Amino acid sequence: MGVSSVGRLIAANFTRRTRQVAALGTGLRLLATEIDYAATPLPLALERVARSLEPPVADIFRCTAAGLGKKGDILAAEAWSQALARVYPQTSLHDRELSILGDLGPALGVSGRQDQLRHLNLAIERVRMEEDTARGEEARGMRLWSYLGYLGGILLAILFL
Amino acid sequence: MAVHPRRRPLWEEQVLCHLPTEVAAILLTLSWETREQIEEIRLRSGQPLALGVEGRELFLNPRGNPTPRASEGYRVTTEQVAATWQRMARFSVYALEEELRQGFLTLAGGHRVGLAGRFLPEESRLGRVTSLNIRLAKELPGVAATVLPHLVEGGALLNTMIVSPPQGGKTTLLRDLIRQISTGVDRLGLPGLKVGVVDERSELAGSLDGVPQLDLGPRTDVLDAGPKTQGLWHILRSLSPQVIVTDELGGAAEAAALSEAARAGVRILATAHARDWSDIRNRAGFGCLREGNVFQRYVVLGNSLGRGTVETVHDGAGVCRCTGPWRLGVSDRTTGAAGGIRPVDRKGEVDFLCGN
Repeated sequence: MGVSSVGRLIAANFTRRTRQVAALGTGLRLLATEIDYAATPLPLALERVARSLEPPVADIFRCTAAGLGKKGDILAAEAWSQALARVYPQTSLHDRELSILGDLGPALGVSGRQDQLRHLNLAIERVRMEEDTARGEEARGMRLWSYLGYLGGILLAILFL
Repeated sequence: MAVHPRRRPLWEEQVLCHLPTEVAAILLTLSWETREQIEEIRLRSGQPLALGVEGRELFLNPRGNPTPRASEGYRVTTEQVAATWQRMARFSVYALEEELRQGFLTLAGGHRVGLAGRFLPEESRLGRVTSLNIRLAKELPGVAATVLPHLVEGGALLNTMIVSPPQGGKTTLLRDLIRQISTGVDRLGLPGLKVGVVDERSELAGSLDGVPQLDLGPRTDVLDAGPKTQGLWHILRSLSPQVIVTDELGGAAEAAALSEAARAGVRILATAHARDWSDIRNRAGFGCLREGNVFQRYVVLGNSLGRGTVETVHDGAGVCRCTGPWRLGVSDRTTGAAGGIRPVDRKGEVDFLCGN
């Protein structure tokens, strides 16, 4: 039972990652909507996006908004980068997603609406590809680790008999 | 060391938070007097930090001392200008496309920031911003006290045009005239009037997101950022004003719209760039104003005694009703009116180093 639980736990990691990548895509799409349709100021737009998501992905947007509210010379790119550094270790995201978000940072809020949408749409598309990959890995990993868990459990049961 | 019991100039709270820390620190090394006299702060990529004080441009060195030599000035980097612009834009340049088309934005407090940089012809707007000119909005309550008596007859306001060269004090005077007319002036028998302001460049009311940041009186409605020709009709139709005000009258279409508004029975206050009375009277495009005798008073501002000097006041026929010069806010010989005003005249040149 214990070994099969370990297998299920590892499999659950794949599910978590897929969910977080999907949430990231949703967050970026919401951000694009706020910018495109409402021209919402970035700090407020990030707050609104954060309210629509679950942690820890929501924390990326929330921490960036909080960073922009602080006094000092901080810019949007730096606030975004600091938020990523703080929140990324708590997520199941991979370096690939981190790289996508890192590429988006310097563009955040610094240009006209069309340019913002170009950057965001590129990031959304790249995240969507990662989501597809994550779903494939999840399906394969779930099967593999579930089987390994059960097989390990059976093996242990045989050994103890 | 002298203790200054004065309050910090209001603009510091509203503007310094946008500036690079180093630039803000340099400005804070200046004396109180100088900080109160600053009219413009200019940040240009790769160029020295410059201030506009009493119509002059001065460079500041890294220790905050003024220098006439650009090479000694504190050099503002491209990154600092970009960062300042981002903070002023609330990290949301995409929300300011109209401002980028107009070439300026307004900060809380009504401070106007003029923008320059790379222009995108296909989008008719600025792309990259590399120069910022922060014009500090200053309310000088009472500055119109010496002028208003010349613009009122029998308790009625006369249609008035204020003319001056750029940076002559037109807008400051007009702003206080609006405030006083809206409030009413008992000593002149002038009741408070409903005033409609077409503030195309957000300079009179210093509106931020449509909300006036500067006091224009209790009976004043502001149409912010609207084109003058449309704005005049909008205000006339929807707000039943007794006075319509607009700043910096330009072409024939605007003059025609104003002339029509005058025919509708409202009082008119306007400003225009011009050297003197004859310049404005003979300007092409202002024919309808001339023929309709729209204006009964012309207040001519100049620089003979420094910024904000009233040179003359003419009536509509060109007869000089009052000869200057006198500085705005200072009692004039004709009326002796000076109650509650804040003198702006300072003897001699500005001592830029005072208090340092």
